Amino acid sequence: MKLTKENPMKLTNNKDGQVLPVLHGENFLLPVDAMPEGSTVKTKLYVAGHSESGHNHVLTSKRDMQVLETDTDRYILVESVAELFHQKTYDIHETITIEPGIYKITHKTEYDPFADVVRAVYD
Amino acid sequence: MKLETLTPQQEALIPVVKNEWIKLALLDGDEFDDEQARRSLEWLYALANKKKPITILVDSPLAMQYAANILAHTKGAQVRDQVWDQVRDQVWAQVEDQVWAQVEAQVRDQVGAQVGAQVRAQVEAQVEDQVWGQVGDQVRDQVWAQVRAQVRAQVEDQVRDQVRDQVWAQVEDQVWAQVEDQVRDQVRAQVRAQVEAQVEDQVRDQVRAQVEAQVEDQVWGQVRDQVRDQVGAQVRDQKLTTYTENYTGLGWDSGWVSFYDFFERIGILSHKQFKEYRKMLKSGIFMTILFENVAIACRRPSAIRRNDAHLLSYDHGPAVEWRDGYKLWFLDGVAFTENEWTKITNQKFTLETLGKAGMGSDKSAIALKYAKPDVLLEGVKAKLIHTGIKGTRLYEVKNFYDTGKTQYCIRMKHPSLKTEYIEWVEPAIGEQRNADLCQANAFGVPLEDYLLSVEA
Repeated sequence: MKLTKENPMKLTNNKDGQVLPVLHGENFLLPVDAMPEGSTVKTKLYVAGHSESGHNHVLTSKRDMQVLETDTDRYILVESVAELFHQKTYDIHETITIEPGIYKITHKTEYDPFADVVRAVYD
Repeated sequence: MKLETLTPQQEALIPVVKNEWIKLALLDGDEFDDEQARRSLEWLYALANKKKPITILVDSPLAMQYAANILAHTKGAQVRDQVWDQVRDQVWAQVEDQVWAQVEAQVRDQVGAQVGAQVRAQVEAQVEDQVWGQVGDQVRDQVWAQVRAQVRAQVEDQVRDQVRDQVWAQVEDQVWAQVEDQVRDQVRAQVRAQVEAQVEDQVRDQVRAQVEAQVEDQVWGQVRDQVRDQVGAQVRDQKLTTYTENYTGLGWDSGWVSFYDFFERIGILSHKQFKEYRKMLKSGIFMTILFENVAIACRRPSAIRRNDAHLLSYDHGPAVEWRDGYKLWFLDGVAFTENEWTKITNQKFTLETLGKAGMGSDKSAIALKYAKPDVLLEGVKAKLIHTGIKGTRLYEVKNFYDTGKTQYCIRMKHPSLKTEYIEWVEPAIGEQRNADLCQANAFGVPLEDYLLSVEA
């Protein structure tokens, strides 16, 4: 069965009560104990992974989530169950149900042996 | 009676209308209803309060650009200003605005945005996305890029020659008639003035016959050939001008017309100008370039090949073809030159040539997707040194492209697509010979967290 936005197979990061890290495309949600100091922004919809082609990886929740962005890191406080979905109608990364908690969001990088540099990987 | 809600029959009509328009625009072949197309273009000009145009029907969007360039060098054609904005404004004012008002008056009050939104989402948006978003827009970009670059490929010569013949065949009578009339009047006036001053009435007919015969045989024959040769040479030698499409035709208008077509079919809408505009699209006009006195239109593609996501894509040939041999090459919605496409589909790219090709991230990503990892890895004599718990395989490449350096790459499956792809790894991480550590490092997380993670 082909996955579509209307017909996703939902995964969860809750395994027997344990909140697991989440890998969604090039994005990683790492559970952490606390938010760092800093001002947060409230939102019910947050682009965890931006895509130049518009195929963003989006976190959405019925209750406000708190986002803290620094120059180098991003954190999000999910207060009630959220969903991480791929904003695309075909060939999608499956939607994952995200447990409440605090997550650090990281983005994948790859090495370019021709230029000897490390770059972010995008969809 | 105003529409309260859609009946089951009306709802069932939604996909029918959508599919009809997609079929008409993309799948029905490339036949033109020439007569209707010309009538419709003349109607369009009348709608915009413009004089009846000379109509040129050609076989592809590239042919339209050549036709416009050829005509720009043909004095008689009087190709000056493009009038697309004026025509477009009139279409908006006299068709779209009015039909929306009519639909709105009968629908919106009763059921708010519900029905409109439903039909927009299920008909207009889908038709527009598939026809314009995936095909029309892509085609325009490619044609523009090629015209701007003045590609001297074989296909271009072929199209140009065909267009020249087509344009001449179609405009000769119309354009030439205008030139002929002007020249004839001047010649006639001068000759007559001299003749009449010098000869008696009784020989006038004889002189006239001779002059006219000479004009016919010599002037038209010689001038016509010269003009044709000169125009051809000018277009060949000069940098081509890119003319903006008029945003009129199936490639652009299928979306909104399909939306109102639905409302007409359920009896909500009856609008004379809308019917005329729909006739124009149904004649098979795909794109247009409209000048003050000349309307150029091209037919639909003869073949359009897309993937399951409706993106232009074909790995056994061109994704879009027109009757005159003009072709466009796409993989997964990304446009390639024929040369790039051939290298990708024939597995001719190596990791090195791909890195040096400078095709940009989109093209490179597609090229990597279509490349077989085995071929890529074999090309650099990669050796498998570790397989991780989650299946990631780590390869070592010694003396990477004769640099003397050892590089490392990981080969993995896309968690949702199940396709394989390759990424390079920082040497300091790769030399620890742990595939999972390479992944964890790439995500910037501890190894144990990477191994615990839920993937999608």
